[in-house]
Amino acid sequence: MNSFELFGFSVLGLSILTHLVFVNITIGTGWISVVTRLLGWLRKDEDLELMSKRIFKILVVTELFSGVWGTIITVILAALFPGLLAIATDVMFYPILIALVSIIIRIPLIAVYWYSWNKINPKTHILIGFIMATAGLGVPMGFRYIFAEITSPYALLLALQGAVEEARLAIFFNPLYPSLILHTWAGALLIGGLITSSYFASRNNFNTRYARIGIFSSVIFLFIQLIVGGWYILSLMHYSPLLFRNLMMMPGSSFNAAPLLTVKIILIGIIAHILYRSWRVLKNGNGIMPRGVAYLGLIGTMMLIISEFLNDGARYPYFVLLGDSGLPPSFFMNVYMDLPLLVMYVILASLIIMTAAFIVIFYYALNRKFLEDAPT
Amino acid sequence: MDDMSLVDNLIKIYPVTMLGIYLHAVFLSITLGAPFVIICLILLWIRSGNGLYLRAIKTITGVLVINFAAGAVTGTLVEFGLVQAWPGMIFIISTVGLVPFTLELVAFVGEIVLLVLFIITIGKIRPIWSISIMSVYFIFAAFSGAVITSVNSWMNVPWGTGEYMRLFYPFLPSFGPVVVSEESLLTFRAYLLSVGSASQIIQDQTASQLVGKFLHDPFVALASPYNLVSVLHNVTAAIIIGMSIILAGYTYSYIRNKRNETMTIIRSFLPILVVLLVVQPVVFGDLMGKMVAAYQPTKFAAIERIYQTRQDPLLGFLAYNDPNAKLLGFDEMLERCNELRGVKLGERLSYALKIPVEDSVYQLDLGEICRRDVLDAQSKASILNPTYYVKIGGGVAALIGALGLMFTLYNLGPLSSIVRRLIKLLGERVSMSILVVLVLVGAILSATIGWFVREVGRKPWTIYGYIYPDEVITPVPVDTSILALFTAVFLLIGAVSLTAMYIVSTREGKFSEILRRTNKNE
Repeated sequence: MNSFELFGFSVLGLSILTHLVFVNITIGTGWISVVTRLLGWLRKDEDLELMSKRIFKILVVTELFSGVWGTIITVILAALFPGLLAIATDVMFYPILIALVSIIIRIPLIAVYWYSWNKINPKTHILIGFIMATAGLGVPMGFRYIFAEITSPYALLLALQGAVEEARLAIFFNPLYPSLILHTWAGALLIGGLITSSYFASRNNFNTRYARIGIFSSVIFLFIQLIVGGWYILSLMHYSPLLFRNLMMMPGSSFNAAPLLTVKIILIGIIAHILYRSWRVLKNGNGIMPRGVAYLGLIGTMMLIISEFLNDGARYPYFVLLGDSGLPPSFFMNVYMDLPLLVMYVILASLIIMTAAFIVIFYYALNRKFLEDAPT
Repeated sequence: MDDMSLVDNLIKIYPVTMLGIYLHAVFLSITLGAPFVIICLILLWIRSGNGLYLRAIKTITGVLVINFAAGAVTGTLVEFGLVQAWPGMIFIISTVGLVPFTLELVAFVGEIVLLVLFIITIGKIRPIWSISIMSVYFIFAAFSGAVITSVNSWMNVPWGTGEYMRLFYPFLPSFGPVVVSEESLLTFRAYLLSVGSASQIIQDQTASQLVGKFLHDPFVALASPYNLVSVLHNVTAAIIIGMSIILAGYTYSYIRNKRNETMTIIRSFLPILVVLLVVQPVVFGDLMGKMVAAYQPTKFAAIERIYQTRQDPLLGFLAYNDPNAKLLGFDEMLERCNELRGVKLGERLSYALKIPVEDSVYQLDLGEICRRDVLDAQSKASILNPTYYVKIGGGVAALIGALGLMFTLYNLGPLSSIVRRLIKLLGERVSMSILVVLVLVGAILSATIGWFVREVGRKPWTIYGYIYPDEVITPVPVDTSILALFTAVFLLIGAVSLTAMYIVSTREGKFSEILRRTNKNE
């Protein structure tokens, strides 16, 4: 890779990682909010409904920023990798349409769900919530076809041979996709559980019951994730041998991602350990919640970032993997002009600084209860 | 995909795209207008110490927050839709639009950070700091509007292409110093005539390599004189609409409640609105007209219905500062097209083309293409001319309404006496209603029709003199039900957001209550 390719590869990777952190939180917390709303209604338990509302706040704020970073990715793709975006909007038109339709269903329903709380029939309200939460899963359902194609091209190969019309439908039969999407969904729901646990274990929002629900959800999805994650790794072995070799540091690899995979496994181990300890304590009732629970969200986010890096960055130096080799970023890169690198660096730095500022403000707004003091 | 299907897509997708853009523009206007009112309110609050003004600040901030969220949502959808439904736009984003679009990201994120910061600090920090935060927020918002306008401006006037467009349309002016590659520009044009879809070229690596380096100056979209004027014109129009909406809200409130504080609030920002309404036509509008006359001859001729080249002292003076100036008509444009009669595309451009041109493309008669496009532009005159003058009328109405309010609320000599007498005749309630409706409807009409004229005026091209709309539209067949869904969602977002803004603005303390309820989880 030359410096331009490396820059493009890194910027795109960084944007995807940032975006996915917000996306996973918003999808996961959305489901927890809706399920606790349902349980609260079924059991006539107002406390659970209160939890649902509090979790929903996290969704609202992260949803906005996940959308912002989604836009950033689109612009980066168009600016740096126009070839790939043009292929995506053509060959992958229908999967992207699924994602877009999910977005346009989800966004208004978030507003409707929030503003109609206690104002409409609870059944209808819960139904709206479930549609909203399901639409959340529809977003990766569409976009993950792109990831499946760049990891194990199926329709893309047809398109590159000129059979674009056939490729538009063939994309739905990518063999890597089923394990990838299940791995993605389970991951998002796991992150939702971990964030919930952490949030309600933090000092200013402490609530044992709510934290326990988060922990319970995390245990379930960690278990599911172990199964679908394993399936995904096996799928990679068959359908994307180079990425598999890179992850396992096997002969013929193009990048050594094994250390990061080890870190990920260690993080999973830590999460499993904290969940196990806290579950034992909380199951018995009056025990003190282990301090580690408050860090579950952070550890989970680190795990998520590493996982996605392994998924995307570990293909280095290729952009699209083709069996034992691949297409480099230069294959899709902007050839229509020389990139003004200095400007790009300044813009990137500004975005990172402002995102950090936003996270700090968000943290204070949520944890230090700035909103409570909002003047009347 | 054949040409008919591309046209079919164009017919289906164009209205939905326009709806999304117009809806986004409504929210964008409030985003740009509200900061002026908020800053005026903070100054009132500093001066008087009256808590009512602080409440008003929070109310307007609440409206701004809902509006910003709706703007962000519609903007995101429009942007996704842009690359999905109009993939040829990827070529623009990856060339002249690269710097503006990436700068816009910074502005967008900056707006979010500063708006959140403003909300959580208002009333807790010194007012001067709140003014500073809101001012920087406005700068980011205006900058966002400016850079997006720059891309649209380049599509209206492809600055940096020098004389190249004259190869196809001899009547066109020169578009600034050359900062594009002649070979690349012409190869892309010929490729489009051959393939029919920009998307097909961009996704083909070999084709892209043959098109090669298109642009030498990444900042060209920002630098054109047409853009500088467009930015001033568009951003001012957006501020005017935003302030007019807020003015209408406060006037409605005053008519109902007769509170002196409401009147004081109106008085605090009305002079700014009046100044903008004067400056907009007299300075920016005039400059904009001169730019159109200079760089978009087909649009200028359509707006003014100049079918025959002629002289018109008033128009000549307004457009060229010269009463004796010749106003280029469609007849002369068609005559100039005749210069190209019999000239085949392949033979005219063969020196620049790196691709083998198909025989049918090679045989294209440049004179025929030129005539066809001029006649197409001419056919728009019947709609552009009346709409343009309705737009002018809207601006005049808004100015009359604002001046009427100004003379009513301020003591400005004999004119104030006359206006007040008229108001007495009609009654305060009726006359104020009429004046504010004039401002609101006039401002909205003027801006929305202005944008319509800007967009339709550049037809039959998407990039003036270079690329047609059906060359940038998606080649994938799009089902009508999907577009119906997008339309419904856009309308729903519009309706929900406007209702929410109305509730927050009409129920005092509602925004603070929402914030408190959110935090206390009631």
